[in-house]
Amino acid sequence: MAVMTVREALRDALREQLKDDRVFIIGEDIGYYGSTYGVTAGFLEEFGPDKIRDAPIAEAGIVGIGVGSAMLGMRPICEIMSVNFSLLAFDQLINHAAKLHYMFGGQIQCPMVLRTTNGWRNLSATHSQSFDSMFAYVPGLKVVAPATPADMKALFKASMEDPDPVIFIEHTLMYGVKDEVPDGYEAKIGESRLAREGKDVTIVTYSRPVHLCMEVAEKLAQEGIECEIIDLRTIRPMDMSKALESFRKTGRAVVVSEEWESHGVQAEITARLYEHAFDYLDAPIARVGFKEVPFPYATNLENQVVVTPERITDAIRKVLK
Amino acid sequence: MAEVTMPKMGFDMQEGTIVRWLKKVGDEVKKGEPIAEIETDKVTIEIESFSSGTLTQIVADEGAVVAVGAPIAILDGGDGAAAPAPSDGGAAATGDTQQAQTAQQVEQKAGTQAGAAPEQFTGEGGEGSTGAAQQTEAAAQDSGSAAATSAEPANGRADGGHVPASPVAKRLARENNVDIAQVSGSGPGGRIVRKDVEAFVQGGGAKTAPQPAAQPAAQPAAQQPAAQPQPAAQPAAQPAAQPQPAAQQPQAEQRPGTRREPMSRLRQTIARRMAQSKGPVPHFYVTTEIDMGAAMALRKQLNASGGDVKITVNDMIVKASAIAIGKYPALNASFAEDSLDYHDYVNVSIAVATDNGLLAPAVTDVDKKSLGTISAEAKELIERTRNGKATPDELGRGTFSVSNLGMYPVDSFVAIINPPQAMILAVGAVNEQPVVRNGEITIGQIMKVTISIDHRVSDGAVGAQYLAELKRLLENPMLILL
Repeated sequence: MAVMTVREALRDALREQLKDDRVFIIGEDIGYYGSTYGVTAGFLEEFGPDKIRDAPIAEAGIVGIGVGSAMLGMRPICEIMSVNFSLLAFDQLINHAAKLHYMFGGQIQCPMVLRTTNGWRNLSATHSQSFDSMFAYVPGLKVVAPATPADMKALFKASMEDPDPVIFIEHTLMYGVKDEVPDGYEAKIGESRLAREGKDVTIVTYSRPVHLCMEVAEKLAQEGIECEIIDLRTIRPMDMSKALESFRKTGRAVVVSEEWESHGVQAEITARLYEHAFDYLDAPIARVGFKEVPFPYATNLENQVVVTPERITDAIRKVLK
Repeated sequence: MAEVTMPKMGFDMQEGTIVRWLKKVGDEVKKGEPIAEIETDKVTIEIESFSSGTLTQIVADEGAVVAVGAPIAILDGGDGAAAPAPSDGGAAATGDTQQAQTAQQVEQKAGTQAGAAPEQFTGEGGEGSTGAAQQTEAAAQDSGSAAATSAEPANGRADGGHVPASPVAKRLARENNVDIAQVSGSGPGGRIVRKDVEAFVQGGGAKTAPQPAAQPAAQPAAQQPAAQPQPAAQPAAQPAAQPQPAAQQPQAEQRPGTRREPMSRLRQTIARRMAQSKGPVPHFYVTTEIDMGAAMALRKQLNASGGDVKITVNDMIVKASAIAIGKYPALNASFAEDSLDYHDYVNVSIAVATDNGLLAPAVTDVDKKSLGTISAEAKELIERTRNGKATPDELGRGTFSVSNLGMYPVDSFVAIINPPQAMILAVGAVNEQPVVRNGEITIGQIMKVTISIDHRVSDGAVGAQYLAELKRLLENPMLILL
């Protein structure tokens, strides 16, 4: 059993994959610069320029190369430094990666893994967004957003083994999160995780907010409020079984994610709770996400927009009334 | 034309209260369809129509207390079949289990079931359930609103009666035959939420029927283990004290730091019956110590023989107590005003603690059944009682009771008789103690038992003789296997 950060877990996972001849990484600043978040630092020296390929600022090209090489039997890892930049590769992702297998009558697969990051902090409006729901919206894509080092490592492996294109969403503010990674720990795409047991309220969340929710739950436990936390881990295909089981117990739910509060993954989670557990509903379901404005640059303004432990706590109290 | 009459839903049922009509005059009724909710002293059950037709007249209104067999409604036409005359258990029996099941729902043990004494001793150190009734906190409920006899919505909404209630609250209300408009909502905007309905159901609710008048002593009542461990050995005749009106709660000013919770219907019934028993029934008590060494050894042997049924110590006590009573028929009798009803059969009521209170289902013909059969039947009955699925008949058919607190560090206690029974046996824990045998001090496994007997029915000498016989059987346990 090792204790490591998310970054270290990802490096382990990448190293293991890079042993395979078919695997290469392509992205901006991943080689010579040592990568913006340090995930592939030293990899150029370790694996060489054939496997660690620096790309110019050309997201469409990066993903295009990824799709093309995947179609021909390689196992590319495409890094898009920030999910904000993926907008430039949407045609490649949505019209190509997601649809090739279908449109070629099953003859072609696209086993590409797109690593990208959600995140913010004084990065301003065009660099602080998340598009989870936009990826999750598309049939043909898989979307994975782990929260713990163990899940990062295990789900990355699962993503690479998956024959379909997987959007693997990391978070810039999570690379330092440290936790135990049990030997031989495995995880499946499309399976959620019970992160914390509780009887009073169901919290459904994924990615960075999982940690915020755990913090909030610890605090509320002192008041006798026991929160049950479900970490979805995969957004598409989304496993609602544990969330529903929990919700049938508590009748009250709060959905937390780092995305704007309307029209997002939260809405999908909420709809499924209402749909499949209507007769267990005891209060309207609360959502906590970004305030619906373009992200500010200034810290004091930014703090008003983002998901905070205070806002999560308020939502829980409201739902328990 | 067919008469719908008050069905007999339990062996001891004399009358029922119409809680709610599910059909109104002019409605079509199909045979087998639920037409009304009836409250007996123990449960609130839906009754089904025995024939089809149009409901042309409601003879007994909501709130009316009607004797078994008396008409409550008239059906016109349809298949013209007359409602079957109420026979013992008869036609009502089939309805009984179904209705008992409809009434018992997953979230709530339905309504009231008259309770009897505490826990079942398994002999393995006992099951952990306590006799405490669990109540949810009803935010704005005081017993005043719970006893409301009007049909106005409790939350007094003036907007055409739309009652905001969460889906789960609505479902629970539906499942428990609660009119949700009667429930006070504690959620935002007066919304009725799950805990409001739960509290309502447990609190006896604002069903429009008033509490039924204290039933004649044909119904079994609840006993309460008295706090004092030492029993009174003298056969004293107690003067009949006035029973407290347990159903009323004084509207006292509450100090801060006090939480008022409405009593569940079961609890109220237990309260009323305790007082009814302890007051008028002159109890006397006899205690003895029984050396359980041989019985424990025999039990171990029986259970090690690889059968399916695991005999508990309580099973052995129940059997022994039934065999012993054969010699003292007065103790297996029921008090009935100016006469005694002697029973041919020996049905032993076993005290079971449930979440809502004490109940005592009875195993029938214990003197005739084998220990294995008794064990299996007792287990099954207790399980069902804990789940709120025991029928009124099962709860009312005992001829005397056994109450066991042996899984607690209780040496002995005194139980209150379950009218109209004449006796209850209170069993304490088996403790290792020094004893004298054949002039030598050795270790014995000593269990104290105390019988409470109705002095109107029997006397001290009989009680003592019974205990001697019980002791003899348990100290020579092979006799129980005969």
